[in-house]
Amino acid sequence: MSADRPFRRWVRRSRVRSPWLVHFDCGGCNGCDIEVLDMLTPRYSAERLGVVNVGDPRQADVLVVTGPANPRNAEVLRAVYDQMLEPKVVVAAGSCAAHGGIFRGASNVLGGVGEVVPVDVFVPGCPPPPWRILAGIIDAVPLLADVRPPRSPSGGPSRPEPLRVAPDDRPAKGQVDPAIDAHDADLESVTVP
Amino acid sequence: MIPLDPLAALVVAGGTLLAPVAVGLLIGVDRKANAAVQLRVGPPVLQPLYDVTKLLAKASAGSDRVAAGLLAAHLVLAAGSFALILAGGDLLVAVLVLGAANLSFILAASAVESPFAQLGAGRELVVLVATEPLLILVVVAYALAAGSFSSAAIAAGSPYMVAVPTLALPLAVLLSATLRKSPFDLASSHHGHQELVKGSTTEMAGGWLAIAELGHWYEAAVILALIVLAAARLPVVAAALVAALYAIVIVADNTLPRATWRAALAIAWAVGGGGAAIALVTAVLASTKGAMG
Repeated sequence: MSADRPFRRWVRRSRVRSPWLVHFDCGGCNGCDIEVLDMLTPRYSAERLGVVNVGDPRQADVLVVTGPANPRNAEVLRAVYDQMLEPKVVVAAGSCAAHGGIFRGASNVLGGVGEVVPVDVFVPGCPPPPWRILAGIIDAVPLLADVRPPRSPSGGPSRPEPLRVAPDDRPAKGQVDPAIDAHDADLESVTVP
Repeated sequence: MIPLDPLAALVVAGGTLLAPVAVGLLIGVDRKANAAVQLRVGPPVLQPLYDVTKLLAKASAGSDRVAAGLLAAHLVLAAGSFALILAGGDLLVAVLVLGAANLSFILAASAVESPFAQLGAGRELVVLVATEPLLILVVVAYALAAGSFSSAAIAAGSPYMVAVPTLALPLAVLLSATLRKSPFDLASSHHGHQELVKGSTTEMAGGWLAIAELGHWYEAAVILALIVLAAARLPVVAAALVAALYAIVIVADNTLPRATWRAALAIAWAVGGGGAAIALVTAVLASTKGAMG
């Protein structure tokens, strides 16, 4: 058994260090989508975490969803989620993805994307700033270390997420968010037993 | 058959098994260097190895049976081509085996229904048309300079960089194409920043994508071995040569992101083909001079 422990550690480390994203937009105002794309620009240097934006759900580990769930896109969202191979995580970016946001209660809106797929991390904001989306992804990647049993749709966020960065505490231009740096340190320690 | 004693066979087998790790690390350094050029931090050097391990450890991905068989053939043929060079075998055979590996990959990409994959496969053919003649010309130039196609004899007769310096141009083109860098990233980019998104690898997922990637790493190992052959007896010079050509490839990658496939073809044949033709003439002249002297 002792021989396969380093191997298992290497596999879990590799899974955590290689989160490939697929981005699915359920609708909404596209504000969150702009922020997601902004998060992938060199300014936030997401590639240092192994993040690659892929167009194919079958190649992706992290599903970033924006916008509210509605009966028309629920099927597509579910198909995208089902095509992803385990281990996988879902990050819901923005208010609409969390609970329907400004569209909540509209006759054609089911609510947040948690009504359709199991969400692991909700990123608050309307829209959430790029560094907070990245922080949400960093929060989610430790869940990639192991294959988890199938999960059912999670519903909306169960508790208000404490804001890690005060809204006025934006990083200066060209600087990395201190909260993200702290999460980098967390990521270093992610190599589980 | 190549006569091999057991020890040499062990070295060849070990070298062939370790080659993907070495190429993975080299690509890791490359991604770091590219990030530095673009003022980013860049991923860890181990990132390519993380990526492949993760893909291999993914829950099993269904794959088209024909495509799966062809992807396996791609990996085995590319590894065989590298092993052949390492064992001192015939360079021409190694290059043709590599061509067969390329073809297997193209067939694997076109065996699935995705139009993106099919278009990517067509573009892989364009890259093959751009590079395959260069590969043959480089090998012929080596053979003319060394008087033999055997990679052992070519290694023993090195260095050739004084005799046939323009051989560096086709080798740089080949390195750029095998690493799928601009302008040769038209079939499948490592980053989803071109219009085909993932092109030829669209329908590959999980372990099958890892096998495709490992096959590409073996292809890169063959091209790197061809570069090293130019100065195989002087390891420091060989390493410097690889570093210099890699630098050219990184600069080209960062300056030609908008190049079309026509530009890729023109660059490959004008720069690479021109360099190879001059190298061929120099090699012929040098060998006739040697025969007369």
